[in-house]
Amino acid sequence: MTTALIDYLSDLNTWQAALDSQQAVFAAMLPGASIGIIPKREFHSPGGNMLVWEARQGRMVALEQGFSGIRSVGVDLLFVSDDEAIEALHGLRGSAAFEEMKEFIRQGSILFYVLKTKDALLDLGFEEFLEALGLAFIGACR
Amino acid sequence: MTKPGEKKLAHLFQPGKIGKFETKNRVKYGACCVSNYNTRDGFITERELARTKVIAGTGSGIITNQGAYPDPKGEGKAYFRQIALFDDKFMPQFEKIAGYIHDNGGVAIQQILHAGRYGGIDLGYCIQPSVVPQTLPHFRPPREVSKEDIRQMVKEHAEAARRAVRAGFDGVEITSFMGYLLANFNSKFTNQRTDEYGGSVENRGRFMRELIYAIKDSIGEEHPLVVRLNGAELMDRWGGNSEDECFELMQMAGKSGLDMISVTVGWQEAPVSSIGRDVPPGHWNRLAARAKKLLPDIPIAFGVRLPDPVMANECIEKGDFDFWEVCRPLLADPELVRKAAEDRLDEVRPCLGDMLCLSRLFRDLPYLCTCNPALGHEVEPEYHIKPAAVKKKIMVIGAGPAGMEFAINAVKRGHEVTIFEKGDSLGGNLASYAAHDLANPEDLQKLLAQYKKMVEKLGIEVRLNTEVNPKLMRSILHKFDVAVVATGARIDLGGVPAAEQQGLVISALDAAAGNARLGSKVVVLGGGKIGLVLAEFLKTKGVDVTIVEKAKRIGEDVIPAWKWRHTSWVGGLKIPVLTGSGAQKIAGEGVTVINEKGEESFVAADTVIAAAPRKSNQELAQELEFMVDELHMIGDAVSPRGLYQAIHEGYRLGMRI
Ligand SMILES: Cc1cc2nc3c(=O)[nH]c(=O)nc-3n(C[C@H](O)[C@H](O)[C@H](O)COP(=O)(O)OP(=O)(O)OC[C@H]3O[C@@H](n4cnc5c(N)ncnc54)[C@H](O)[C@@H]3O)c2cc1C
Ligand SMILES: Cc1cc2nc3c(=O)[nH]c(=O)nc-3n(C[C@H](O)[C@H](O)[C@H](O)COP(=O)(O)O)c2cc1C
Repeated sequence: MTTALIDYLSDLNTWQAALDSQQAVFAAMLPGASIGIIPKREFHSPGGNMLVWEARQGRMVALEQGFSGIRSVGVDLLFVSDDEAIEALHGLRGSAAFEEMKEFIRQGSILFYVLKTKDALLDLGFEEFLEALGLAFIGACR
Repeated sequence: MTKPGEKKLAHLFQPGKIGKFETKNRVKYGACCVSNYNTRDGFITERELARTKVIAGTGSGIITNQGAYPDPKGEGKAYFRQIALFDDKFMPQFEKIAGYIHDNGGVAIQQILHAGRYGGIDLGYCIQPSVVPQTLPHFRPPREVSKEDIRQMVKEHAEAARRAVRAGFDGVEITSFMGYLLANFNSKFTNQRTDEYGGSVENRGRFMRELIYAIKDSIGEEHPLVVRLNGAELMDRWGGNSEDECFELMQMAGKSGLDMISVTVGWQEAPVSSIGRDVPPGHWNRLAARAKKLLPDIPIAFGVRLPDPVMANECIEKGDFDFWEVCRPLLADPELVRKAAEDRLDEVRPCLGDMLCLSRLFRDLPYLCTCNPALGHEVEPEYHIKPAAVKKKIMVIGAGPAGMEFAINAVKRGHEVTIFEKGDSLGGNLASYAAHDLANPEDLQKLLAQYKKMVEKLGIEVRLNTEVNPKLMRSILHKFDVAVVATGARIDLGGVPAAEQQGLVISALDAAAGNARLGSKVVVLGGGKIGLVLAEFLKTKGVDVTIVEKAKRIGEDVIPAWKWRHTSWVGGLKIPVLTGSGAQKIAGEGVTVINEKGEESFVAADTVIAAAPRKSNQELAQELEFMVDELHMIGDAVSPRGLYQAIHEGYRLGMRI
């Protein structure tokens, strides 16, 4: 990972500010509901750190956790991102951040894995967040 | 005697061969595996048998019966009501289906479908070559299979195949369509194993080769085996196989002793369309042509988003493939092959590619078809055309899809029908929708043309430019026993703030019908299907458009499997969307918008198109209440919805009146 990228990912204050500007999207999430974000390179050769957004006491907080591979990852949803997308998202606030993220997902610059079933995600309060990002809840032959 | 269409489409209607079997033509009914009409524990129901009888009667040379899962645990089961073939107890119904197909002169193929990554629907997990988490929450968390599991799966496939042949099927098919187990082993996205089943293309294809050998061994040389393989996975961004790798695998399959390859496209998780209406017909033909070039001696079946028999005939003539494999077009119109043979293509009910079938499957519901209201109801006598006990004189008010669908079926049953339409042509809002569809307007136009053709063919009297009102009614009421109100819905302009300037606000239906002049800066109020279709269309014509929607999200009234399409178009076309917002004030320069938090913003506009709220045109029904013996309402006149409900209600009333 480049130094700059590590800096972006571990700049928790900036991510926290972004989350605080959009707490409504996370309002329904139960404590412990969590989302991980790692660069694509990290996904393929694990061992570094992952940015985590976790619901705690009624708000989403930004944390850093180790990432030792997809099999042991503890988050409910994992975003695997191009470096450029992380750079672009870092520092964005409010709905612009979501719009930008949605666009990156649409283009394939950010991939995502779901690590819980649909029912579990619904129970954890993920609906609003997934819908905000335009992610499909149902199967999707297109 | 050769029928006129058989002469015109001579390549499609020539005999073919699969293994030692002769086929009467080059049409293969492609497995629409899962109707979800069956029992929760895998038994075929009377509902399914009745549908299959219709399928068997389509006139296709080869009929593929829907995919059965081969394992008793149900790891291979993809849908709640999928059929099973892991035990002899299931065989009696398969025997019946093979019988129906043979009675109609078809070659009977049974598909064995293990859904792999998309399976385990009743379980808490699915199985895969490697643990690769899901990208869609609909599916189960993965478990990796051991080599022992692989041996067991191969054995179960072979045993299920053997049962199919014992039940009377001529051959068997396995499928990697849309990312099922076979595709999971073949693909480097889901196969990350480090043993002899993973790594190189050669290793990833080992499971496929073992399946082919075991099945051929179990069913015998004389029974053909079809393998459905991806020509493209469309999973590149996830690290899936490239097209070259897909064809390497296809070549490997070809060398392993199979009898036919069916080329398919895409995975369920693929981020782009493979079979929706937004894919132009014929778009994927090149993949079939590549397969044929690679494997000239193996029959190639193909038909993904190729709904047109004329195009299929040309492809067969050019040598792009050998069999036209059709699925949804035969769901939409089981008479398609017969109509093609009789040169009556203008009477074909088109598949709209609107994905109602799949939207329902993924909601765990039996599938239905927008254009074929009888699909799934074949077992019910009420859905069959029978002469009416009492022949009635019927007036239909409104020539939209509901009114025309009703009229056609009522006339077929012996009623005398007159259609009154206030506009100057048939079609209602279907015509307006067709004129603005961004996906592939031709499909909707074909449906409209088919309605017009049938109205003309059945000699239904049509009175255009005739608005029915109480005054007219008083002068004609003695002539009719029944009035069917199919007047559709309107935009309720009373639900929109009054504009300071006249003509600034126009109804979306007027705009769509071409009855209004639009400016170059448009605000569309309402991000439901009508507003979205219009906004997207206008944007592609260079108009500056903004959508304002009261709900939290756009497309709330759109078919589930089509929502993403609108979201993606709106995003791709960069149409600004203000959700959770409504118009507070409309003045000469634009619209003042207020959101849920009470925040105001201003959007400049020289035209405001109101696409919501919609309101049914029911007033006439109230006025006619004591004027006619029987009074009915159908379609949007009942409540503003969409095409599927309009067509189905028109059909159902036509069947029972
Ligand atoms: C731009 C646009 C996009 C759309 N997108 C979709 C979509 O994506 N999916 C979907 O499912 N649906 C869509 N629709 C809606 C769909 O077209 C309608 O739901 C469908 O046409 C309803 O059929 P209907 O026969 O009930 O009514 P209509 O098609 O509205 O037909 C009613 C007919 O009755 C006539 N009429 C009314 N009053 C009288 C009278 N008093 N006397 C004589 N004639 C009368 C009208 O002129 C009209 O021709 C769209 C519509 C538009 C305009
Ligand atoms: C409702 C539905 C279910 C399907 N299920 C299967 C299946 O289980 N196995 C399979 O091999 N193909 C399946 N298909 C794919 C079709 O056989 C066909 O390849 C695909 O729909 C594209 O062809 P079409 O454009 O003629 O519909 C299904 C298609 C539909 C519409």
